[in-house]
Amino acid sequence: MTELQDFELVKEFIAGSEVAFNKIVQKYQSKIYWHARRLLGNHMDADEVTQEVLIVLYNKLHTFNFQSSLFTWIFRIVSTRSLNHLRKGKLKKMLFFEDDDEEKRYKNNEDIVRDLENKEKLDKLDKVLDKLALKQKEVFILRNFEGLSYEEISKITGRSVGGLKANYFHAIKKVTEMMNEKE
Amino acid sequence: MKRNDEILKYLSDLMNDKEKAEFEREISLSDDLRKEVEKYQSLLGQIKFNADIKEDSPYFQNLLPRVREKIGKGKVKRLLPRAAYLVPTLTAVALIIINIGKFTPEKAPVNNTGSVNTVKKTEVKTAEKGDEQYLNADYSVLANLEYIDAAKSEPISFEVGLKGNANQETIQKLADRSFVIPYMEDYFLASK
Repeated sequence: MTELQDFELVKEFIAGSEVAFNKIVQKYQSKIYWHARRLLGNHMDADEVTQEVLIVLYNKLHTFNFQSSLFTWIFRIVSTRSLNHLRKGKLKKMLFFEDDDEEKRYKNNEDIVRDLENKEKLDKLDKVLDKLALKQKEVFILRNFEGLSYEEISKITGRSVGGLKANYFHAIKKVTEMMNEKE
Repeated sequence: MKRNDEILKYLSDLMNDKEKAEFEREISLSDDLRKEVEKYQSLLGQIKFNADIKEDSPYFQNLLPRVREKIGKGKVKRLLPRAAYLVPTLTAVALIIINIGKFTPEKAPVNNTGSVNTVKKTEVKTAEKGDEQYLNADYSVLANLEYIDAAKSEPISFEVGLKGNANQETIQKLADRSFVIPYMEDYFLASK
């Protein structure tokens, strides 16, 4: 589906078509979830953020100005919400001295990935991403998994291309070091 | 700079065009360097492979109905806080309006001093409550009041009315021609 078709769907939704909203959700829900999942590292948080983002989409789609692609606009919301979720979580942990491992065990009880091989892959990925700083993690995911250019990532994150390149450099340095250690 | 950092810089697109061209020339000339670059690319490819996962539950089939349900509830919820704010606000405003007359005089002493010239009883009925004698009467008292406020320091004569059921002690104070009106509650200023 092209960007133009996305714009048509948004226009239809603004004009009152609920079906158009369903189509937008069906197109982007998986991307929203997996981006949030990689940023947050567990299903429960990703599910919460995904639902939040879809609700924001429903309530704010009329403010979409057609200046960027719908994908960029949606990913900006996902990134912001996920990072806020992470920051809130960290603050909560600091204030209430919550146990990291116990929390992870609790949050990993429920998952949409049940296949053992896939679970193992996901665990490996989470462990690597967990070691990255938030900004590094964000640019690494968007560039490596979504295949976005720095310019596109810049539109999503609002950060400069130069800054993003530096973040990506540090991210792949850490990631490759960790992978080398394991080998 | 370490060789590894150079490779990472190349993979991050941090090199300028000249540096990039030079590095690519070096890669083409050195098998070791090419293998090293390929190793890094492979590591990144490995992690990309780990991220390529498909869910095996009907999560996405159920997501839209769940979101739709929340959107529906949200519409109701958005109205509730407004009502929740409105009801106590209106109650508070109503209470303030009702009590403003009651509380303001009690809490605000009238800063007037003066002397009583005459006390005229309009009607006198005595009633006893325990040891105290109450006069069920409306008193009309001609008093010279002076405002403490310097701007209004001129003596002004007022007819001061004293409410019925006034305590005998209060009446006596008025008769002693010297008093400070403690609170407006016990007195009202009648027109001269």
